[in-house]
Amino acid sequence: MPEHPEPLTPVVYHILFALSAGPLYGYGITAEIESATAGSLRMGPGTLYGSLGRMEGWGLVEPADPPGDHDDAERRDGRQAKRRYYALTETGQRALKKEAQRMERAVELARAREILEGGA
Amino acid sequence: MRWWVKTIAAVLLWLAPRRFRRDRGDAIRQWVDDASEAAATRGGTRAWLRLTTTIGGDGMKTIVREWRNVFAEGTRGLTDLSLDVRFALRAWARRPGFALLAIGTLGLGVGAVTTSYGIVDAVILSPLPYPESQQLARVGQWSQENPERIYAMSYLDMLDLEADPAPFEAVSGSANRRFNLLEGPLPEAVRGALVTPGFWDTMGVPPRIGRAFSREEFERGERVVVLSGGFWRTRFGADEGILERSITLDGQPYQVVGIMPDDFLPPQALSQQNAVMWAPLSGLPEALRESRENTFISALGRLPEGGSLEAARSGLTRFGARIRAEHPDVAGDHYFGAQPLLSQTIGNASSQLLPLVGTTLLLLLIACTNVASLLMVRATERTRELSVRAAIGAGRARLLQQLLTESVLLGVVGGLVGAALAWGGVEVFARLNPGDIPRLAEVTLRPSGLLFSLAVALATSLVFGLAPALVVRRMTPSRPLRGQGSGSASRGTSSVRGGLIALEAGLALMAVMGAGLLVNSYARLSTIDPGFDAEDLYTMNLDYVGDDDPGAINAYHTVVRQELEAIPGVQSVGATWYAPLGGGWGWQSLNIRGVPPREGDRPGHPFRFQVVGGDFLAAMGIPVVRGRGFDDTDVYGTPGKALVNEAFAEWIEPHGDAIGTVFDLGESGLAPGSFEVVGVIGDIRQYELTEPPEPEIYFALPQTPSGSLTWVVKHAGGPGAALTVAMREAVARVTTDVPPRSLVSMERRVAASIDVPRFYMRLLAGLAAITLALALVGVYGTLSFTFSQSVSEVGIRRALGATEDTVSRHLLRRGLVPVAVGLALGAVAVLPATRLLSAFLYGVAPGDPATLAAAVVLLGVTAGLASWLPALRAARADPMTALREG
Repeated sequence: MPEHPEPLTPVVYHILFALSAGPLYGYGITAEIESATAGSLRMGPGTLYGSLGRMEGWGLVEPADPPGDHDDAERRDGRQAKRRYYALTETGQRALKKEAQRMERAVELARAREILEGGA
Repeated sequence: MRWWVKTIAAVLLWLAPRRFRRDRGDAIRQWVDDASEAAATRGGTRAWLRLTTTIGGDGMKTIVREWRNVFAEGTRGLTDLSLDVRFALRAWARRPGFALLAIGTLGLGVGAVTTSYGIVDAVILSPLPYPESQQLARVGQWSQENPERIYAMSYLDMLDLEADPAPFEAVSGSANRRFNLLEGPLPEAVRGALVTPGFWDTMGVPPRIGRAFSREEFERGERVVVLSGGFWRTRFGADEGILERSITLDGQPYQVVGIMPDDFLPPQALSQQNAVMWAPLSGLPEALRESRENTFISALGRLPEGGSLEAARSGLTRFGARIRAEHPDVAGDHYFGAQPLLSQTIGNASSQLLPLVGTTLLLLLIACTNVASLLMVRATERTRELSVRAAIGAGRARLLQQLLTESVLLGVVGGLVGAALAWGGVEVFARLNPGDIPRLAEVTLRPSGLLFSLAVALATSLVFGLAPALVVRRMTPSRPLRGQGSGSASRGTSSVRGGLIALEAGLALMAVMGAGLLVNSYARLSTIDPGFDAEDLYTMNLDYVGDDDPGAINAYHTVVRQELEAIPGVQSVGATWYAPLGGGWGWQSLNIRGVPPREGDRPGHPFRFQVVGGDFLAAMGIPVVRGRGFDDTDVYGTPGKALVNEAFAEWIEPHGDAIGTVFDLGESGLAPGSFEVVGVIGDIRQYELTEPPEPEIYFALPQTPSGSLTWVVKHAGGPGAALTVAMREAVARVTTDVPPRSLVSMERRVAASIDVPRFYMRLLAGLAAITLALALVGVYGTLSFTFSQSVSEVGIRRALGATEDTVSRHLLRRGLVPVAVGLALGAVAVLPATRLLSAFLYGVAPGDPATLAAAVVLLGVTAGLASWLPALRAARADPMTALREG
């Protein structure tokens, strides 16, 4: 299986981030990212699914069963069956953590140079 | 607004590559549904607007990205191709022997067949080198019995047709003419043609410099001449000042008015080959110009654009009817017809080119067989490599693609080699032209030849490159990997190899047999005794212009003879109407005393005759068998004497002895009075070397004086060039009114009479030698490989006690069985093939058993050697090594 590129692109990072809370379906992921970034990263379906396809190929995410506590109304109109849920794999979790740590180090360095406020 | 967002999404999705649409389409539509629902829930134009811009922007980016991915994958295919090409080249570099052999063999086969394509193309297929040449037709007298043939027509008929040529656009007439050019101390005979002023318009080629002569000049009978570009260059140094002056032809000044383009080809179908000048046809002797019966004009017609030959023919039928109605009392067949100039030019060239095409096709077939067996060998050798590649993930399609690339590469390189060979081959063939194939002057390999060559090479390499592909198809990745690396040949491939060996043996037998027949035939030809001694004998044609008085003619010949005899080293000088093997004799009907006349209205007995003078018999080395030859007493006015050849003596035997036979020539005879046979001389081959002697009579020149003669000069030996110069000078001392022509040695004439068979013999022998070599290389290579695959078998046999001898005999048998099968099949197939050669054979039947036996033995022995060497090598291998390596 091909390795994912490092460092992760913002899109990949945010998809992993969104899934870190639990399996989500397509629009759920974009909605989660949008709220997490306060609307600064808005993602369309092409980018989302293109990225998900590649991430699946890298072993970062995998298809997942829909979570049990889902909205009953959606289940009733039969649409839920069509939705594909994605979940993080172990590799995905590690990659997310590694990326977060890398960013943390970058932030620390920036603070040390007083590029950012609240330095050591 | 929901439908709006959905439509945009659908359009964008439609623009994306199909694979993306298929894999992600549902998910994306779902996403759009979900997002629309969210936007609806949130409410407000702003939410919808935001969703629209998100989908639009993202959609565009996605489309660009996905298509780029598709193209990247596509070019990965291209990268595969260049990889394959590099891989193939590296493989060739590793096995240069294989590569050279395969490319060389294919190139040779393709080159040979492309050469014959180039010649067939130039001689038969390509249009004549004149503007709209398909509209040109040879026009002339015609008969129902032989509708393909167009005959000459009379001057008056031609003028009538030219005046009203419809439905032709134009018609012009032409007659051969030999001019005596006097530009310098010695006269020179040059070939030319007399034409009507419409000649240039009909041909569609005007003079390059100056002009053609006008109708007025033609009608006034003015002496004007147009020169060929080549003659103007070589004879007058391309001097344009020639247009200002006149040249001396037949003792008269002719004004040069134009020069033809260098590449203008005098039409062969009008017998204009080698013509270097064109003068008005109105310059003919009056007797010819006023005749409607004497047919000697070759006419040429040009059809109007879109005009049909059928329409022209019915026009000519009407023309003939008109002529017959207007001139009811004129003898001759005034029926007219037309045939395309191209077909009239080509004649029977297609049957002449048949042996060439046939042999080169044989050669190509053998080359193909060789390439196929080489590729088979390679494929078997590579089974392991291919298996490894398959095992590590190369798809079958990928492997096939690689093999195909190698085949195509072989085809392209082989095709280029073939084209290069053909380019040279066509030149060589044109230069060796035996002289009877038309249009060879036009032969060059056209671009279509290159295409042809590549097409043949590619077709060959692809078809025969499939052999290894079959191996791949049958291959399961694991099988060859299980030990048995290069493995011993499977039953299937070994029977294919046997078939290839048989095919090669059979094809080679056909080529060798064909060549053998021609060699055999040529050997018989070259040992034919012509009945005279050609060594140090020279011939020269000389005309006479002057009084018709017998005394004047005889005096002229006496002076010429004395001048020739005065040349140092000349032993004897004679003269004859027609030199042997020059094609020509007289016909004379004899009323022979003591021989009953023939029944019917022509009671005389027709015989060929010659008129000879001087020391003809001595110069020619023809023996007097009985009686005497002519001597100084046989002069004009004395009782007529004649000589006959042995064939005549044999013919007259039943009626009495030849010597003393008396005959007369009747009213329309050569000379009045009766002639007595005084001697029998040896038979000679007069017309063709292959033609058995016929009864012939010889008259004495002084008793039957005639103008034009061929002189025969016997020399003591030495360079011929000096002698021919001396002969020209000797004649010039007598006259400069006529130029001596055809100064050649008799040996050259004899050789020239078998030029054509010699040409085909050499051609086919050369091609057959190549074919045989290819076939032997093929047999040797295939068996070497097969045996090297059997090392383990050899090892086991040797280990079990078989001797080197028994093993090699066993292997030899495996090689010889397919050779024998091939020879047997070839011997059956050879008969219909060699029948095509019948026209080129002399004294040998197409199925000559001796030649066939010799060919079979030659092939059997050489193929035996080619099998024995590898068998011996395989059998000599050390049993232990053999077992280990196996």
